Parts: sequence; structure tokens; C-alpha cells
Amino acid sequence: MISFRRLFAVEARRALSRRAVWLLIAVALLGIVATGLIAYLGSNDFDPTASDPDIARLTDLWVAGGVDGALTATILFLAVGAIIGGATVTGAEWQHGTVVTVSTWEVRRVRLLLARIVSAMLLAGVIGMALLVLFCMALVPTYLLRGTTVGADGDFWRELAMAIGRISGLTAIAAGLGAAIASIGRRTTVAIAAAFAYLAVIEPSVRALWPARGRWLLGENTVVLTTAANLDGAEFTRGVTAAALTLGFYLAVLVSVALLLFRRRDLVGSS
Amino acid sequence: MSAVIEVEGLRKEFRTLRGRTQVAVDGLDLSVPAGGVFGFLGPNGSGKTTTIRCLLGLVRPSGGRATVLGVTVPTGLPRVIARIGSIVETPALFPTMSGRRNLSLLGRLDGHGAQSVAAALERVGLAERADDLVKTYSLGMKQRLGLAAALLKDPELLILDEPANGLDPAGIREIRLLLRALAAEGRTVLVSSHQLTEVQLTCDSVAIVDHGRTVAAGPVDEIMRLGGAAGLLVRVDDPACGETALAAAGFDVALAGDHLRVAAPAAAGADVTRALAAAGQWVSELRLDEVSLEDLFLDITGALPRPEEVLT
Repeated sequence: MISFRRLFAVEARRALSRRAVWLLIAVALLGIVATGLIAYLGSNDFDPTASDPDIARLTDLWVAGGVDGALTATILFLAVGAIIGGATVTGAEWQHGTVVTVSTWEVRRVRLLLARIVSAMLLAGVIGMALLVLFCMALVPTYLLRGTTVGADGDFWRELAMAIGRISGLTAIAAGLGAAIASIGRRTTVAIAAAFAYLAVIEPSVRALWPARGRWLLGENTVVLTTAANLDGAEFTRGVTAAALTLGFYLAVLVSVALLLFRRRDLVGSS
Repeated sequence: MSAVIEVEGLRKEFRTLRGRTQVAVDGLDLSVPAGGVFGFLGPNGSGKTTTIRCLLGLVRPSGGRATVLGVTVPTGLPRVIARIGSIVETPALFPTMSGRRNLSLLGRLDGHGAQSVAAALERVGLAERADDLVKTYSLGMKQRLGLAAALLKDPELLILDEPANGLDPAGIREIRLLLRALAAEGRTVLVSSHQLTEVQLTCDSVAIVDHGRTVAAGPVDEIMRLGGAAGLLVRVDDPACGETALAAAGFDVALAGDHLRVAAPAAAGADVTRALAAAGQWVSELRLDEVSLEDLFLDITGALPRPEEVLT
């Protein structure tokens, strides 16, 4: 029988063999390079005495307890990329019918899908962390040659490291959500469409109609989790732990539904 | 001889989107003996692929019972799946990866390395195109790749659903020889196919299914006997006169176009020619009138179209 560890390793390899995954990474790298260049070229007239947040100031890379840090701009891109990446890992297996082929090698389907989702989450977390580090490094020339590193003390680096950890964790959760939804819908596009509909329609509607219920929305909990700060103007307070638990709960529910459906489904070919 | 696959009263119903029940397999019985090539025949929609999917745990049976390599399906399947190689319909692999990469990813699940992958590709004649993307493969090449994936496990049981689908005549012959070679190695091969001539040439035993049920099963020779005793086809200058002469000599004879069909074994050939010669009818052709597996299959399953259907 195939051990879970081997299954996990093979699923990670399968995910990394997908061109879509590398395309997403390439797009992210392109964005990082572009950000580094724009930051450098746009910091000609940097004024170190100005109080406004500036991308040329290292301490503005991450502002503890706020959303003004340059790094916060990456959260949306990483989350969306991770949803697409996670979705393509499971959705493509259905679209190409390879889910049938693999299921004739590992017939314990719950283990198979769990290994797939967990490996997608772990990869997304690691890739997300690497991209965040690269994002920070892309701004180093700007700080050293045109900006300033003044004020970057131990507390700053600790806060930055924790922020990178939290954003990476969120990336992993987003990948898990994408993988679970794509498995339920048996298509990558189902997950992407569902995520778009949720973020573009449901969340704004709930915010507008029942502001206090915003505490249960993915967006609000994502911001709280990654910034470790309460939301400005929100009608509720939310701690980091509560936000993490809320997101974890949604992930657990969707993954459970995906596992249950995959276990019970007849595999009669590609969808 | 022990059976590697035993199926009793297997039933599978699918619910349609409109809530109707569609019966794909309706109390099917099957016993596949160990060793040799076993043909699994049936018209389209007869339940062959669904049965194969049930055996591999891909669909849940609605009723009945099945065992594979001594374990009950699907509960015991995890214990024996590593000993079963399979192809279900057209093999599904990632089109944007090479054949070798696809096989390598599958092989890693069971700990098969690059050498095993290369050997499997070599065996199905795909070594030269192994590093090309699967999307550039023809249907026949995809079939070969699927077969290589099935062989990768070095399985004692192969369950192959239409493995020669899409292959050219040379490829079909290669597959026939490969299946025979696999059987000669002591493996059991269950192969579903529409190519009845190939089945007749390749298989030791067959089962014919129709409307989700087994309608005939056994060694190919025995199944062929179900089609009735082989006769003789005789050609003479005057068939009507020849018919009279043979009937007078005590043969069961009938006109069949410009031939006479005589219900007699091959050994009666001398008596037939003697009776015709005595009536002044010289034999210009005498051959066995064998019932092919195709004739038998069409007869049993009633799949032969009526002439008006052919014409329209």
C-alpha cells in the first residue's frame, strides 16, 4: 500500500509539473521585478523627512498594526494566485480525466485527495513565502541607493518576519480553498468563477446590508489575520486568532465536502 | 483452475439528471480463470466498461458482488491494486507533459523508477517518442502509453478496456502478440474488445455480455460450438442437380447462393465428392463453412442490423 508520505510527495511533484503553476510563479516574478524597477525609478525625489508612507523607506515595507505597508499590496495578488493555483491542481485532474488513471493506482480516494490538497497548500505556502522574500529583496536597491533604512530595528524585522509568515499561511489557506472548490465543481474554472462571484458580489452585499456580519467574511478575516490589526471603521472587533480560526473553519468545511463527494462519486471519465 | 476475477449478480444503476434510473449492468456473472487472455465482448452500451470500472473501484456497484485476486471489491482493493494494471477507455494522461514524465509520476506512487519506466515504454514500442508531449501523440500512441502505464506495475492481472482502439493493423497485431506474451509469462489478461477477429486469435476464453448480462462464457472453442456444427461449402456446375444428388445420398444439404451448404463434418468431404461425382457433378471448390466468433457474437447479441437498416 502507498504510504501517505509518498502520496504527498508524488502529488507535490504532480502539482509542480503543471505548467499553469509555473505560469503563475512567472507572473508573480515579473510583478516583483516590475515593482522593484518602478520603486527605484520613482524614488528620485525621495524626502526622508516627509511623514507620508513611502516605498523608498524600509520601515514602510511593513507597518505593524496597519494596512499602509508596501507588503500589504501583495496579499490580494498572492491570495488570488493561490486560489487559481490550488484550483488548477485539482481541477485539471478532472478536466484531463487523469483522476481516473491515478485512482487505479491509489484506490483510497480520501487519502488521494487529502494528499493533493495538503501538498497544494504546502507548496503555495512555501512559494508564497519565497515570493514575499523576493519582493522585499527587489526593493533593497531602492532603500540602499535612493531611500533609507533608518529605523529598521529588531522589532521591525520581527514584525516583518511574522507578517511574511501570516501572509504565507493565508496563501496556503487560499490554495486549499481553491483546490477544494475545484474538486467539488470538477473544474478549475468553477473555483475561479465561485471565488470571483463571492468576492465581487456576496462580500460587498453583506458589507452593505449587514455591516456587523462582516466579521464572518473571508475578506475581513484575511485582513485581520495578515495585518494583525482590527479594521478601521468596522462595527466589530476581531482578533488574529479568531480570524485564523474562522478561515480555518471555512477551509475545513470545504475540504470535508470535497473529500466526501470524491469518496462517493462514480468516476466515469473526464467531466 | 482458480479464478482471479469472480463476479456474481453485479448490478449498476445510474441516476440521470431527470431522476430516471438507467441500468448499465443487470445481474452480470463472470469468472475469469488465472492465466491466459480472457475476452470480454459485448455491443456498445452492453455494460463492459461499467463492469470494468466496478472491478477497479471507480464506480460503486448497486448490487451483487465481485472479487478480484481473492479480495472483495471495492473494500479489499487497496490490498491488491498494486498487482493490477489497467486501461479504462482512452488512457487519460496530462497532455502538456511527455509520455515519460506522465509515467514517471505514476510510477513513483509504487516506487517504480526511471528504469521501470524505460522498460515499459520499450515494451510497447514508444521509447523513441517517450520525451514528446502527450498532446502530440496519436490515439494509437496514447493507447500504447496507457498500456505502458498498466505494465509499469509488473502486474499479475491486466484489465484492459479496448487496448487496440485507434491502432493501425500493424499496431493491432503488435498488441495481440504482446497480450499473448504477457499471458505466456503467467499473467492473466482481461481484455474487452470490439475487434472480434482479434479476440478469436488472441483469447483463450471469452464472455459475451448483452444488456448488462452475460449471455455466453467459456473457452473460445466451446463458445464456437454454440454456433452449431461446422459444415461444408461445395461448389459444382449445377447446384440444383448437386443438391438432389447429395440429398439422395442422405446429406442434409441446402442451396447457399452458388454454393451448396452441407451439414457434415470435414471428414465427410470424401463421401460428399463421391456422391456428387456419381451424379456427374465435378467439385470445383470444397471448404469448411466455419462459424466465426463475429457471426456467433452477432447471432447471440442480435446486434446484426436488418438489411433495410444497412441500406438506409
